[in-house]
Amino acid sequence: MNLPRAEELWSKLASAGLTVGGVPDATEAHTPWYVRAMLGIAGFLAAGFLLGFVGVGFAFVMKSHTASLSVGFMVIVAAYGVFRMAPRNDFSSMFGLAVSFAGQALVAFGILGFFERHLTGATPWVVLGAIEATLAVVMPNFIHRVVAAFGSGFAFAYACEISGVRGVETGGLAAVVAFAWLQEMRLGKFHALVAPIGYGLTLAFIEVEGSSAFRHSMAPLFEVRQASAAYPWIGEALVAAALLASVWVLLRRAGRQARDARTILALIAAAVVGAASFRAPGVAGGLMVVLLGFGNGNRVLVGLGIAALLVYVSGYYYVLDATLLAKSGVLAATGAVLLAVRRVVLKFVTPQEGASA
Amino acid sequence: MGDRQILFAWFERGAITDVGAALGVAQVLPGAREWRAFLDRLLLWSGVMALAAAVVFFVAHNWSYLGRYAKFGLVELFVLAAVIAYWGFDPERAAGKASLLLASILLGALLALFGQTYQTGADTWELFATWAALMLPWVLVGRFAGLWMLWIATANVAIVLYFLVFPGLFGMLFSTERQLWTLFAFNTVALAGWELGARHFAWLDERWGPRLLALAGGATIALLMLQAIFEWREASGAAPLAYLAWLGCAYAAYRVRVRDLFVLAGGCLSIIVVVSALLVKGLLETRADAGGFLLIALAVIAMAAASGWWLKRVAAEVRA
Repeated sequence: MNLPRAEELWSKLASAGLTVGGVPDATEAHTPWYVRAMLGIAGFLAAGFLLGFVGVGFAFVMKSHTASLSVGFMVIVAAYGVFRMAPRNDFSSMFGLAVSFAGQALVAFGILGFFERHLTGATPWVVLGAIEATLAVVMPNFIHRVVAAFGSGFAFAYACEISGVRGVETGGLAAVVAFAWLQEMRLGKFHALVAPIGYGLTLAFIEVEGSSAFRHSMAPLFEVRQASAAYPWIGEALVAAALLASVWVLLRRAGRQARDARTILALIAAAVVGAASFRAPGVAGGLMVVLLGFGNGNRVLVGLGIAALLVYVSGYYYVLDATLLAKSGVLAATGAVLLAVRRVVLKFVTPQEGASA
Repeated sequence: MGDRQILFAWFERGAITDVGAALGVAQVLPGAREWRAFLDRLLLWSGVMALAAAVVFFVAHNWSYLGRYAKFGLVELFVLAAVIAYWGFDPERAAGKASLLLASILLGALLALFGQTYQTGADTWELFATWAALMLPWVLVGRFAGLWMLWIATANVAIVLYFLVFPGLFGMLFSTERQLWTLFAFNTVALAGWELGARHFAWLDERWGPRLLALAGGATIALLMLQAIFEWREASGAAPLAYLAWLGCAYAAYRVRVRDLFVLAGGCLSIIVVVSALLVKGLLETRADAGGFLLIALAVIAMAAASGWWLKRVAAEVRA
């Protein structure tokens, strides 16, 4: 941010009595998401070559799960040291990122191989999820936190999936995502921690929600053990509940009272969209992300939610447990519900005179 | 919204007392008017897209209990209803534009139904090419960036499918190269046209369109460059020249003329990938040794760090 703009913003805040001291330095605060995405992709590319270096130069590391695990942890600790020693240096940050990604790959390789011989089922994924969650909190780097939070969310979701509680993971992730973004301001003192973890978990939620319906429809073809047919319903019910809770908090933030007819109408509209999501998975989750993004003034989150909705509709074509005719009916009903909800929202919940007030 | 990060950064440093109130004062958080406009558009577009997908799925199902005339009648009725809705609503408002977009998508479904019913023997690329051709008048009158993007995407699919059907005399290798060249040329021309058009038409002046086209053009020329590196005996020698020219033009257009960090970041990533590929070719192709891997990893880290440093400096200028 340039100095005049920062000073203008500062004077606005000072007039409102919200400032302490003089204008702080603002030049280093903003890095656009696509620059971070570019650096993240480059980090993965460099990590791939580092793994090649380890694989060719220290082949024993790849051959032994214990060695892989030990070296992986050592490398991650080294990356932490690099981040801590020179947090503002671009080269060291990039180096730490690549080294840590390579270390995490070694740890994942070691854990999955190690548990394969001793324990089966969801345990290795729970352990991986816990490690990634720890890294998301501990590592002082935005991109690293996003990736680790995504890894953690994905690993826990996969653990739920293979332990048989299929569908519940989407609801759990939806609840965590809603909590992270709705509490963003309350947790503002820890924004450097909360924001990247929020993005990582949102990405994990979008991925898991997008693929859960497809995986569930494929399950009868490939798996012997059948999960209860109720689980996807429980998952969507939890997502719908997260949507309702988000709408409720956003309404409260806008100063709406619980007994206000418009509040009740808005909640009913959200419940109807949530109900539509039982047959068209992803609608409630995608809309929740979009609403959270707009409510927080976060355009990146809005874009993620819209992209998720487009992916869900495209992916829905390939879900196998319903005919295209049935899916067509579901989509037609969902479209009609969304347009009806729009009519209700514009006419009763946010009427023109209220908006201009 | 651009002030969000700075306000949180100030709050973390203890320079402001209440970040929620500060976000409100800075008008980062939406008010009642913004919420109304947003919900209007969100529910309109998601509803319309769901209805469009419903018709596409219906046609794809090819329901045998419904006769061909009934199917055609139904889809044509939907197209007609969408066009009437476009005339009924103000064409400059979101509802009018959404109706025209719906009509354009349904036109594709109608053409698919035609091909499905009469088994004309036409290839799939012809469906998309015909769709793009028939949609064009609506695209021209629509004055709507989203509709132009649908048209460009349809033309892209037609190009891809064309080269799958006509791989050429020398098989798939040359077909892939010609396909990539055609896609590169088409998307680059579309990008230039969009940027020029945006100077005259306010409705084209949205950055997401040129960014998507720059991504498409940049990705295809980078793929051609990678093909030239790894299959240099078979590939034509034009790719390195075109790649350098594309980078130069992108720099001139998006660094010197206007500043678009998205395209510059994409260009940086493309350079990192292409230089890495050159290093892999030079260092690892004959003998994959550990030193080669380490050197390439360090080169990627150095290039990414330099790119990040440069892009942050440009970002500071963009906001100035």
